[in-house]
Amino acid sequence: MTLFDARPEKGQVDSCTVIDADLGVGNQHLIVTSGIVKLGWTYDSDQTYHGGEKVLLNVFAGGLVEWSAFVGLAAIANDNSGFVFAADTARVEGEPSGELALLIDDALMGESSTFHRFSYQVVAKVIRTPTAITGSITWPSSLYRPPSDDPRRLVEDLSVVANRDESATGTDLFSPEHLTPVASAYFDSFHAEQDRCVVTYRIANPPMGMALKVTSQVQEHFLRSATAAVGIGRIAGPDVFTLSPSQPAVAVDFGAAALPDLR
Amino acid sequence: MTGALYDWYPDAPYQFPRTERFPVVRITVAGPAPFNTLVIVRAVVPVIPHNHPADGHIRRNTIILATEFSLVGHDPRTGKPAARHSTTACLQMIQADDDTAFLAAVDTVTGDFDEQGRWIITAQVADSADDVIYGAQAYASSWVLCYEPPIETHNHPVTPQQIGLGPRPGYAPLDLARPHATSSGPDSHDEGTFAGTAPTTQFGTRTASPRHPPHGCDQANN
Repeated sequence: MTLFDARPEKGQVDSCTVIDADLGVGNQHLIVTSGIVKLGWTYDSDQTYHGGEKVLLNVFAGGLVEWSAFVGLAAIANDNSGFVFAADTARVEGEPSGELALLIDDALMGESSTFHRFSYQVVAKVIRTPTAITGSITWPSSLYRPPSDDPRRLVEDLSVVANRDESATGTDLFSPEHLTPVASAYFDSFHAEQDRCVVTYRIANPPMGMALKVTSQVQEHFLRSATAAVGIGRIAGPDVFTLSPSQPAVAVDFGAAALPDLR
Repeated sequence: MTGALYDWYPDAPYQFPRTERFPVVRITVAGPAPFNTLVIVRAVVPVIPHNHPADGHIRRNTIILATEFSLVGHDPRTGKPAARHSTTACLQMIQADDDTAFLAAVDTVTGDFDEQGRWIITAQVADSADDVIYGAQAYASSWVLCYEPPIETHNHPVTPQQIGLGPRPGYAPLDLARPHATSSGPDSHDEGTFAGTAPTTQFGTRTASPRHPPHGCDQANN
């Protein structure tokens, strides 16, 4: 069985489109996902060859309730011989990671025949598992005291973003990070104590199934008002992680502090 | 080859339905905001533009097809309506009247509203066969998340028209089966190579233009 992946960066599925409709009942969603798989199978024989394909659909769910799927021929060619082109027996399964997968049977015969592409459309009723990234940012009160206790105003001072991490894995410490923002946080509480300030944040519904890295930045307003140069970094929680139905939420905490004066 | 259309239909081994209409199905959904309606619409995509006999060359075309789905309550002055969709297409008919090498392809397909609120399917297709009568078609299927004003059923009892089982008042039925005059001349389809920009053919618009030459009016070999 040959494996295909509907993630756009893989380049294995054209015209990949997904919709997700909230059915309004018990976290049930209707998913429709379609695509044209670049099979690229050339065969030169008068004996029919039976194959099978698996397509990772890049759709994640906590549960698969019902599904209906079809597959069809999208691009075929034959060089003036008898032929068989077949794509059938479509079925949908949930991977251990929570990703939906389409499995099909296919067949090819001809002298020669090329099965360039097949198309699919999967309709599935799934249970959506809400995802979240939560955490806090803490800093000394002596460094900066926001003018307002309204957490919504803190967007002028701080930012927290979930990024897709496509950095190369390996041992080279100097290879650049490749981060693409996918979701931003909102601040939901702020507490100023005697010696420290704490703001909590929440990133609602970040995507499953991709490597994520949360980053935080100190904004210009904070930097201008602080009593010293400021640095910020992660103090608790994973650096890079992947959300899944079995791990739908992650906590990452940050700390800001005065940088030492090196002059 | 000159610019006249070649209608191979009468000579084809299988006279497939020239007009096939599909109901538009609407389902009320709770979201995501601002969407409240899920629409299913299907259409037939001609893989071969029907204006050339097969000659062994590969022809690539962009097929732009107006479907029977028009957004209720859309004001054209506001531009394209917001929507999300999932669209695919697969071959449903292929035929040749003699032994031949052949290619039939729907390489890509997508959908979008036009500014009038009509759902448009666009497909990149390709075809090739030797000197035979040859044809192919594909079914396209779109699921569209959109917003439509809710039906006030207490004032207007539900009718087949309102749930998409027939033409909506104010819209003339479409003949989606055959091409109209093409936006590019027929000769532009005859390059037979992979290079260059594929010509574009529009189907299903309401332009009042001649559909087909009379039977036997084969000027393609002139």
